[in-house]
Formats: sequence, C-alpha cells, structure tokens
Amino acid sequence: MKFSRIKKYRKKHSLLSALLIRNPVLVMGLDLPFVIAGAVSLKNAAAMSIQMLMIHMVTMLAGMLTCRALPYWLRVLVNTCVSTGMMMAARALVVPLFPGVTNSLGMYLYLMAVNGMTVLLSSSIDKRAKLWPVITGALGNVAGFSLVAFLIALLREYMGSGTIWGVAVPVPLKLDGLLIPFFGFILTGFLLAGARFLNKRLLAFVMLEAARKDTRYTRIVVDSVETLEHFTPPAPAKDTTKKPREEP
Amino acid sequence: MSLMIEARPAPHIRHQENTRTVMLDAVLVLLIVYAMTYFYHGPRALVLGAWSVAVSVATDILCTLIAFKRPNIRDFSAVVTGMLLPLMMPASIPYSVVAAAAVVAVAVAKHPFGGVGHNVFNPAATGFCFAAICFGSALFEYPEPLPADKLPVFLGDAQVLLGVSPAFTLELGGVPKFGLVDMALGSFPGPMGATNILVVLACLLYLVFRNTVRWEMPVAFFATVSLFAYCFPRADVSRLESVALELMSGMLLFGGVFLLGDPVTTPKRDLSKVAFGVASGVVVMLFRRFGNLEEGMPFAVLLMNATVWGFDMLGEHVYSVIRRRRSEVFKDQKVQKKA
Amino acid sequence: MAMFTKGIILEQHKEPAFSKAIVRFVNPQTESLGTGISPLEDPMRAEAGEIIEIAKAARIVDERDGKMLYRKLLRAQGRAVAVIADAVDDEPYLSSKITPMLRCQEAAIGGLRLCMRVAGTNNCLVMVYRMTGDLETQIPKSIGGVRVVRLWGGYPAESHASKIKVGPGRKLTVSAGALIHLYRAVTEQRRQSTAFITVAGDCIANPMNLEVSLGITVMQVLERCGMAAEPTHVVCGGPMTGIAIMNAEKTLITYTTRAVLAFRENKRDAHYSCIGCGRCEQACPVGLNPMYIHRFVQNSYYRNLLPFDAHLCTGCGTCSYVCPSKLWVSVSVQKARQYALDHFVDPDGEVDELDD
Repeated sequence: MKFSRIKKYRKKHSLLSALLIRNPVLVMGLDLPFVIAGAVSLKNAAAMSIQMLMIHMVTMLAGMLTCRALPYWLRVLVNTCVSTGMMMAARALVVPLFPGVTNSLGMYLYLMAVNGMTVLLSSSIDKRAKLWPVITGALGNVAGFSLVAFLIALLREYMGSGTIWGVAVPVPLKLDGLLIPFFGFILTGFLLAGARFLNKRLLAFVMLEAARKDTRYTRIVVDSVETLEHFTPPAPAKDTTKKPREEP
Repeated sequence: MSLMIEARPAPHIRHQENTRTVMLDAVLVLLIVYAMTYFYHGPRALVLGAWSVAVSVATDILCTLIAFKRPNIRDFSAVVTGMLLPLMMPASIPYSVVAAAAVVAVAVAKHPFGGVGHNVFNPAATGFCFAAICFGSALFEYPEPLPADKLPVFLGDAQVLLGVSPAFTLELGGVPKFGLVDMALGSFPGPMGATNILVVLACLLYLVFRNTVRWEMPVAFFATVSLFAYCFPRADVSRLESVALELMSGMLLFGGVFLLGDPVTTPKRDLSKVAFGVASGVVVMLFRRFGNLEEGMPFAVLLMNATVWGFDMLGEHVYSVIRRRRSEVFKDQKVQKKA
Repeated sequence: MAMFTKGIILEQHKEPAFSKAIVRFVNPQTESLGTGISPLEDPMRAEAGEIIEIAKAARIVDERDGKMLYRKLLRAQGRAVAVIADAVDDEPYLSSKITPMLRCQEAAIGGLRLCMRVAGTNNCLVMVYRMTGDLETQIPKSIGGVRVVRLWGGYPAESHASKIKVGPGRKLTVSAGALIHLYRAVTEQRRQSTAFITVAGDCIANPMNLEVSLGITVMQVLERCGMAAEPTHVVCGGPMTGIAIMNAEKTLITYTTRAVLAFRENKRDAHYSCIGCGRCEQACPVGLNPMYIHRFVQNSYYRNLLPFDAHLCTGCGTCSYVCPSKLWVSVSVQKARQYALDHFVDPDGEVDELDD
C-alpha cells in the first residue's frame, strides 16, 4: 500500500481537508454554540463568518509569535487580548454592514472573542511551524466553520422564517420551531452524522486508491475491497502548499 | 436415527405474550378513544388519525433504512405515536401541522436517541411541543364538539367556530361555564382525545389490568395533582370542585395515562415510579400555574423524561440496601442454587 | 411490586405424566448390583453409623443438589432439628420427585424414618409444591403419617421455602428419590443404579415418569416413550433451568437428570430489541433489575454494575421467560453475576468495589 497517498489525505494543514475531514465544527466539535444558537439566518452567518475570519487569522498570526517566546499561560492571555481587540474591530465593521445583527446574534457577537477554535489552536502552534501552512490551516478552519454556519442558517431561515437573506420566499410549511437552540442541536447532530458517513466513504476510497497504486498488493487488496468499486471519486485535491517539516 | 437438535440457553419455555401483543394493547385502547372522538367530531378525527399514523410509519421506515437496519413490520410503536398525536390537538387542525409534528416525533425524538425501547424523550410529547412552539395559539383553539357532521374532512375555506377550552379559562382564574357532568362526558371544547374523561379512565383501568401501565405511576401522579389542586385552587370555587376541574380540564388525564404511562420513557422500579409520579405532579401543576401556555403537560413530561435515569438509579440504590440486608438475614436459609 | 410478590405463576403442564404409574426402564445387569454389606436383622432399627455406611456403599446421590447422601447424613448426624423430604417440582412438566413420593410411599417414608434416626429427631415433614391446576390426582394431607406441607406461590418455589416454620437450627433436606434408594439399600442391599425422571414435552407421544438405569442414553429414553414429532431441542433438566443437549445418542442419564423434555419450536423472526417494558424487573424474585443489567452487559459496561447486585441472581430464568421480545436476559445477568463475584464480592461476602 502506498502510504504516502494516505498521508497526503490526512495532511493537517491542507486547505480543503478542513472542509470535511477535519472540519472544526463537525469533526472536532469546536465553536458549536455559534452554529447552534447564532446561525438562524444567512445574514447572521455572514456576519459571524466575517468576524471569525478577522479574529482567527490575526490571532493565529499573533499566536505564531507568542508560541515561540512565551509559556503556555501567558500565551493564552496575550492571544485572548489580541482576539478581543480584533473582535471590537470586527464588530465595528460588521454592525454597519448588517443592521440588526446585534439583536439577532446577541451575546454571540461578543463571545466570538473567546471562541474555542481560536483559543485552542492559537496557543498550540508548534514552535517550528512555517508561516504559510499556518495561514492556510487557519483559512481552512474559517472556511469549514463558515460552510457549516451557512448550511444550517440556510435551512433554518428557509424553513423557519420563510425568508432567504431577509427576502420573503414561498415556503410549503413555515416551522418557527426550527429557530430555537434545541433544533440547532438536532440539525447540527444530523449534519455531523452525515459528515461522519462521508468521511468514512472517502477514507475507504483513498485506501483503495492507495492499494491500487502499489502494484505488489493490488490484486489481493482490490479483490478484498471490491465492494468500494462503485463509489465515485472526488476531484483530486491539488496541494500547492509546501510540505511542513516532519515532527519527531 | 439422529435428531437435528440445537443447543440454546435456558429457559426453554416462554410466556406467550410477545412484543406485538404488548403494542396491540395500546393500539386497541387508542382505537376506543378514536371511536369517541368520531362520535363528537365526525369523520375528520379518523382521517387525521390515519394520516398521522401513515406519516409516522413512513418516517420510521425511512429512518430505519438510513441506519442500514431491516424495518420491523410488527413493531407498532410508530403506530402508537401516530395515533397519540392528533388526540392532543384540536379537531380543526390543518393536516400539515400534524404531519410536521409526526415527522419531528419519530425522526428527532425517537431514532437519534436509540430507536425503539431506548428513546429518552416521549415522541408524542416532543411532536406536540414542537407544534406548539411553531404554531402557538392555533393549537389551543378548539371547535365545539357536537353535532358530529359540523366539521368537513377537508376544511378548505369553511368557517369553523373555535372556542377556548376550560384550561384557558382556569389559567385566567375564571370558572369554566360547563357543568361537571358535561365535562365528565366530554361535550366541551378541548383536545380531541382528552375531553373524553370517562373513556380515558376506562382505558387506564384496562391498561393497568393488562400490565402495560403499572398502577403506581397514575395513582401517585393523580394523587399529587389532586392534593395540589385542593390546597391551591386557581379559580374561585370550592376545593373539591377545584380538584375536579383541574383533573378534567386540558390534557392532564390523557397525559397521565398515555404520556406518563409509556414504559420506555419512565422509570422501571416501582419505588422510582412513585417518586416520579409525585415529582411529575408537582412540575405539571407548577407549569399550569406559572407557565404562559394554557397547557403545560407535554412540556412537563419532557422535562421529567430527562430525569428518569436519576430516579432509576436512586431506586436501585435504595433497593440495593434492602436486598443486601435480606440476603444477610436469610443466609442460613439461603436460596438453593439450581444444579 | 417486585420485592413482595416473588416469582411468577407458570402453567404447569404436569398431566398426563403425573397420574400414570412409574414405568421401569432398567438395565437388568446393573440392577442387581449390591452394596456388599450383610443384611441387617431389623433394618428400621439400624444405628446411625450403620445407615451412613450403607449409604456410602450404595453410592446414593441426592438429586436435589448432586451431593452424596452419606456426606449430608454425616453433617446432620445428631444435630439436625428436622428432616424435610423434598418433593417440590416447581418447574412445568416435571413431576420426578412428587410422583415417586406418592407411588412408592412405603419406601419413601421408610427412608425418611431412617434419616430421622441418623439426625436424632422426630420432627419431619414432606414439602410439596401445590399449584392448583390441571392435576387429576389429589395430593393427600399426610403421607404415611408424615404431614405434607404445601408451598404456595409462584415460581421459583425455593423463595417460599423460608416460610416453613420448623424451628431454628439446622435442617436436613433430602429429596424423595434419595430416600427411596436409601430404603432399598438398607432393606434389600441394593446399590443405587436408577434415577427417576420425567419424560414430557410437546414432541413426546406418551409423557410419563420413568425409573431408568443410570447410563442409558437420552435417545433410548425418547424412543421408549415414543416421539410424536421431530423435536428442535431436547432438554435435560427442567424447562426453566435445564440444559439443551446437542447429541441425544451420546448424552447419558445421570443422578441429577430430573427430566428429559423434547420441544418443537417454530423459528420466529427475532428482530426485536428491548422495548423497555420493564416486565423482567417486575418478575425477578430477588428484586434485581435485569433490564439495565442486560443493557450494560450488551455494551460491556461492567464497571457500573455495583449497585445492581448481580451476584444475588439465583439463575431461575424468570426474566427471560417474561420478556416479550424473547431476549436472552438471563444469560446477560449470569455474565454480570460472574463479573460481580470476581470483582465486587470479597471472600467474607461483603460487597464493595475491590481494588483491581
């Protein structure tokens, strides 16, 4: 089996892996409250995404610096100060863009300063990490969060309020109950189950491909996993990032 | 000659009751309640019931297939859920509401938590609560019960006169205008199945006799509710009348029999059942007093369903003390282990 | 409530085997084996030591618990306050203790009196399980002058045995078959070479009680009684606690085989899972909670089983019997019991979390 294929698939800091395989919300379980309680309309999701982009990117960059120089507890404090500052800057940007977001997001607008993804990931950057992988990894995480937030917000706004981006559209049945946090939990749970299902299929396909490329074991392995034959392959991810140095 | 025999563990004889008979008991009892609602509200009640059952069963089969399991046709738990849902709603409810409630009941409250026998929350109560949150006051406006052909099966543009139930009146502190006999017989506006007080009581007796519902739960629950109503009447009536009014208005009796009598979502130990009944009675009466919806029963049921594990473990610890003390006392007359 | 109504009521199915005479199906070669002890002058006035020697030479085994009779007599010599003849057949289909008691009354009561001489007491009684039902023969109030005590209640009857008041102190309990063999050994110098069994079940053409030689195969017994249909499983022992055997031609009748039952069961679609009805918890005579124990064992969640007291399980099988989904609850509880005995109960019998 060509293990390099599987290693490539499991690469941590690839941009596209954060969308499905290492999605911060669905696979790592970070930042759930924002998706559950905050993502009730597309405008909310957009506001949260913009905020997250600004806060997360800048804090990760700051984290790169603090991780090299400071001990853990001081790292966390400094990163939190940076993220709070960025949150205030983001708020100043977002509130004029989406009027009414303060009411609908409520405290989650301000809680974004200490969201789990930023706090966790910015304080555990490896000392020898390079700049570009960190940036792409952070972008990927923000993209994963935004994807989930937009998906759930679309469903909840369409079926729950009967609008899309604030514009009323005809809906077969308007269920207000989808807007309460309990249903946020349920919908996130369903999406999580779907993500697990897809991940398993994807991994099975990648392993099959890796087995196929290694001609020594092709016949045995392909015969034993022939049930995976009918899965359509996803588009191959073009990895243009430089390989980070292997950690011991 | 050699026999084709197989080995299996003991015991080798079984009780003749199986899952189907257990579920069929509940279905039979609900059919009787539906017969009474047909008498009061006409054929629309039956069509609502059939539609709800169809949607529930379809969702159940779909969810079972998604989980790559084989659908079990003899499993009537989805049928019971489907039959329970319209009985808690007014007879003039649109079909889409019932469908949404049924889908949520099966696909959200039953399968994600483990499926048949393992669900934590009562599916019928969840469906009703979801509909109550979505459609709010439309769920609490009831048509007059008789004559039976007043409600057409498909409402369309028909005008239906809707009234409020005695539960609403009680919530405001007023006295409902129906006499007690009228209320006992069921000729007052209210949830479709919950108005037939006498029929529901008869169903309770049957279920207790058939051992589907154990007697400790309804007795503890109704005793607590009666005590609460006796001590704190909501309207300006005598205390006994207050007890009767509280018991007969809204979904209290119906919920106490069918929602709290569901063996899956309530504790199993008899001691835990008594404690659970008392706690549920207190919570329901508090919901009725201080809640902003006129009917707090399904919400209270959901709240208590979340605490079932605690009650069971409490009962287990109490019983553990009793069991160990018994086994010490009878050590010299120890039960003979089977050879 | 589970603590106060112990056990469940089972349909007994004891007829027609109960009212027929006992049929002998013996091997003539083994039947004539003797004890090797010279005959006594007055067997009914033998000394305690002599009786014990005869019991040892005759190799009598008490079918109730599989212990050698002479050991039981040794322990009870001069110390027991009462002798109880065990003729309790609480499981359905079985009548292999009560029928010999009724049909061979002289031998059984004679054996009982011999045991009383060993124990040194005059207090004796016969214990039977009396569930009114389809019995055509009436059980008398006294057998040979010894009063008959009836155990009323559900299965398992052992949980009601503590209701018998014979006074404090050690009691000697011997089953009816062992009493008969003891009498025969003392009066006729015969070794125990037979056992009393019931052959019944819906596949047996002539259900009856047999006295069979030890070592006869189950297949021969089934052919002696005739099979009305092809069985799907053959059980050695009672229907609630017996063992389903795999090869009828190689399984032999032993001292403690109380019955051979042949059943035919239709294969039904067993795709049911636990529906959470709680009937097993209601039915358990000890007061355990088999539903949760089953779930825990299915998920291999053994560590949290401490408050469930699985080590107190008696193995009666009632929980599996009442389960509407036909689950093997009793098997899981036995597994939990084994785990609890290994990990939770220390040698003094105290229950506590042991340090692993």
